[in-house]
Amino acid sequence: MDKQKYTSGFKIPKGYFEAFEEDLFTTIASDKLPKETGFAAPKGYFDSLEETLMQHPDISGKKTKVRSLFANKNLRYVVAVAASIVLIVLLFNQNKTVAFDINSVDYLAIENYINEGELDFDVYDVSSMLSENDNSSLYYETETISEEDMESYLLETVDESILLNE
Amino acid sequence: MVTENDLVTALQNDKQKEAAFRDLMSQYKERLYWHIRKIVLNHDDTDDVLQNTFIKIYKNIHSFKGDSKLYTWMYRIATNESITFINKRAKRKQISSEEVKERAIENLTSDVYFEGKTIQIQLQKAIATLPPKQQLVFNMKYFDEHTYDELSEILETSVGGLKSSYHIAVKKITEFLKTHESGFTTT
Repeated sequence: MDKQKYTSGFKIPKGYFEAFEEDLFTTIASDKLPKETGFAAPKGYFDSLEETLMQHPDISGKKTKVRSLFANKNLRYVVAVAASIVLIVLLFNQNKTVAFDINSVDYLAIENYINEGELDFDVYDVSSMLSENDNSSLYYETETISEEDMESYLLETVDESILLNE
Repeated sequence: MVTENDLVTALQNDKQKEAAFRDLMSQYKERLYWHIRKIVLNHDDTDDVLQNTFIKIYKNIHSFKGDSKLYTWMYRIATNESITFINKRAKRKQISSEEVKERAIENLTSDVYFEGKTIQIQLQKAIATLPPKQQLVFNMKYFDEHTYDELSEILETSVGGLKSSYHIAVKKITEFLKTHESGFTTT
């Protein structure tokens, strides 16, 4: 067959016809699914949300009122007596006390504490505490990691099933 | 209407921050609410996550560099907050995050803020069978009608990967609904 003498000049995206069928079947199948989730919000919820948020201490900047434990004079005496008793007991048992510092805490216990989510920090909290100098030193630290180390870390930690699902 | 750039500039300016933040909330509160609601399912939990999301946005807006669009940045925070919320609840109750979702779906029938019928509950059950990433892609594409380009920026995944995730999600959901009857027909 002869080659076309004239061409339209139109082009199609790469892989268009390969994806066309799948796109079409997905559209047909999803047309049969319910369009509504069924979820509802309480009446007036969105109207009051802004005020609620503006009064939050992290946004308004207002500190929550702290009530002093020592406002009551009698309580002050009770606490003073209790503290004296504790001090006397500690002084008499000085030889028996166990030295306790950060080095005596098991690293694994600290790691477990962090892993279990007890330390309520995330990337935003951490980044807000770092200065620009800290950030640049962090980049410097990561530059020293070799490609081999990076590859072996990924092989050990990445769950392939997640990648296959994408 | 205020452009996104103007809004960001105002949010990063101490004198204009409060007014700009009110503007931001009024523009995005509903969109973010429904996005979070589809992940955590219950109104009270959604309210907690939405408030945390806006607080995070307020506290971290100074670090927003404009590398992505403001709303994709906010969606990313909302998504992360929702997932963190479910994971924390799972850890506290010593169950898996899948079980947290299953329990939330079971509670839908008695939820006063759920107006769906059996088919909607079945749909939520079907969505819950998907891997977490596919759940997000399906909800954001099907219900929120985000474009693949928007999803690509929010979820930091290629358009090709997202399309494939969505096709698989629809296929799995259709199969689930077919095998779990509830009046769902494909003819």
